[in-house]
Amino acid sequence: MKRWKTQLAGGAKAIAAAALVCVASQAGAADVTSDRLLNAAGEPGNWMMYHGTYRSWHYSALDQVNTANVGRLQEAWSHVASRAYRGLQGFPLAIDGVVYYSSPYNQVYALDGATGQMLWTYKQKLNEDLVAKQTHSPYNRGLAAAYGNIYIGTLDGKLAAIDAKTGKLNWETKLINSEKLTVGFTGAPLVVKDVVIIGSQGGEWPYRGPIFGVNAKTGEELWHFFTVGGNDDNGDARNTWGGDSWKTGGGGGWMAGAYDPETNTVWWGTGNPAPLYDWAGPDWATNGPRPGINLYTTSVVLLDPDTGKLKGYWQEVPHDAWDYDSSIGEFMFVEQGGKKYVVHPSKDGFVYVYDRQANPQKVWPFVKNINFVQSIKDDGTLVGRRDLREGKHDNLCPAIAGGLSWNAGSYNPKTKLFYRVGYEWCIDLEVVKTTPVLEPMAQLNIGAEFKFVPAKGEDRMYAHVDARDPVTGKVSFSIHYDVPPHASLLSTGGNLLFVPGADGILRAYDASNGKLLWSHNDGMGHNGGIITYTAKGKQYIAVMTGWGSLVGDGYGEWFGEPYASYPKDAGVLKVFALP
Amino acid sequence: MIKLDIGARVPVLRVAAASGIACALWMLPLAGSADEPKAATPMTRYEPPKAAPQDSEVKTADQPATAANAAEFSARGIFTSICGLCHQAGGRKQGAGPKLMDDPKSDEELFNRIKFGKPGRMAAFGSAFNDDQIKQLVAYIRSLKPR
Repeated sequence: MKRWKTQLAGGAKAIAAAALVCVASQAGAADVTSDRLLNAAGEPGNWMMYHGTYRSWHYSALDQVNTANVGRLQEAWSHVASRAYRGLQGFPLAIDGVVYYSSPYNQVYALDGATGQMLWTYKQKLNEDLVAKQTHSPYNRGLAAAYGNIYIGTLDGKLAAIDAKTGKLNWETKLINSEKLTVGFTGAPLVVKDVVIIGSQGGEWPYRGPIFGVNAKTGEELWHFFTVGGNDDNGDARNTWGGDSWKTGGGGGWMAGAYDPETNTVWWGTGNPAPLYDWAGPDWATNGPRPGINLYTTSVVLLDPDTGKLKGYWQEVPHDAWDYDSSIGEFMFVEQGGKKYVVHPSKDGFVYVYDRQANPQKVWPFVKNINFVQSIKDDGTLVGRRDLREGKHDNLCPAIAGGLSWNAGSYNPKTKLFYRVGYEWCIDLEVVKTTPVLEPMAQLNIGAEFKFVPAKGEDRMYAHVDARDPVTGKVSFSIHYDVPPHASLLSTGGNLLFVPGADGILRAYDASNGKLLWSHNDGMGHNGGIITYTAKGKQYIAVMTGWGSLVGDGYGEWFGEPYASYPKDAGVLKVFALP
Repeated sequence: MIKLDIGARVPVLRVAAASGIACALWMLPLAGSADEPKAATPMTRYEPPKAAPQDSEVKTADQPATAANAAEFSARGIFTSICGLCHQAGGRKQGAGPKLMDDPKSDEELFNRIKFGKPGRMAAFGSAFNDDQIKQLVAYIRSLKPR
């Protein structure tokens, strides 16, 4: 059990006992060092980074709550966020008995993990005029913690370091000229050694989607890597964009990635190029708004955390003409048959299984309805691209929302199963030849009109939560959902799989066989993260509620009630424990 | 309704054949590149034609002329590029944003919504488009008919 450093002020022994609880629990994030982050899996009672550990398993070994007793799980406490437009979409952190989480408009809270008592609240001073102009806004996907700081990326292009003990701003660094470019940060940062890494929004915006490395202690910007066209020493990459299209190519790396300490390599997913759809269709190599394969969009990039230098990459979809970005942040490090793999679910509906140098070893489809290609080979080669020329097209699958989405899945080393939500939906679209939109404040650069439709041969859009072998894709069990969940999953050493539903119901299943063991109505849809942690030796499960991501906003039309009536500005952190 | 499907069949990937568009061609085969210096990973990649010489590193001050100034401002084009992410089927269908065809709001309300947005729901586009262009967008919305 981690010892807390206590700092008792003065000699007030009478209140020492009470102060001990409060002050001691605030010491937590001050003690988060690089070593603790590297060994995060050895602290199952803490959740110290977005994906849980650098291996992105979204798993905790905690088993105090398990299949035998989860039926008695009940609400322990909750916290209501203010101004929660588009709901709570992030992951909380839990460190040494303190829960930290972010809410829209870059607000951050530190709460006692056992009682929910507020320790401090932080509100970032934002350029609200700018935020009013942003489309993918005002939500935040999460925090990072190290060296006494809680780090958050802001909507107006800064990385802020908040003092974990006091909730005061320690420093902030302006990384993007968001006033000019509109784009900012929504993704969680990742701390690697003494560098904070964060990726900007990108895909739809006419800029180059940089990923940044910042000194974790001083806030000095150390490096940036342009996902569009790379940096000066990636000259070839710029030539994969015809004309000037690289200047406004989109890209971005808007989800936190992962880290391989064995090779000192950061793994990060990059976003799609702009415009999203390409009226040149099959002639995209020489014609259209962005001729070429458009490196390094819709790719997995391997970066040196200290220098930001590109060590390797795999472009999952060369010349992505369907908005299937590779930004999903989980890179699950698993071993099977004596081999080491990195498993990356991607928006196009495929799961890419790499070796540790990002060579594809196996590529398997998670969802049934895919027709933007006929197949993808195990070496990553696309076969039978369905490039869409200017004009009308029916039934492009998966839809623009993806066959897999940014909400995380989970890998459970006990069951050896990988759990995720797969989406079966498509779009009818009309690709339109438009004047390239180059004004950053206009944002977005889509290039088609579309509407969501069920796949041909299906009578509705739907989803399924599958338990699969992460390397081969073999299905162990599958849970059908008429209305797709759009929150992240959690699995535990207690053999539990938690699925927070769009319908507001949090469900716990037996992770071995998918049997439903417990459910609870959390009051509104889930569109964010879920973690488990301990405080004072007791296990808690904490889940975000709140609805209104850009995918979730469509549910009212596609699935009716209660989605159409969900509040647009509400979010509550709900925490559960055994009695 | 949640249906549990224990021990499910392996789902069969149902991939439709390439669309019926007559001009759908196969992409050029990916050529291997043994000389690729950058990637630590050998991989097959398409070799693009060399583009025209590029400008030096772009600074934010060099961003191209705004759409608002472009002679080719086209309400439909803007709608397709920007508005359509949320207002689907060209504004004829509700998606993430409401259906705009036959919207009961007044012209002035539509104008103000585009210009000033709605907090947490829709961006303010008054910096991207001037008033005349926003009026053109409103006129486009009013012209929408079912397909």
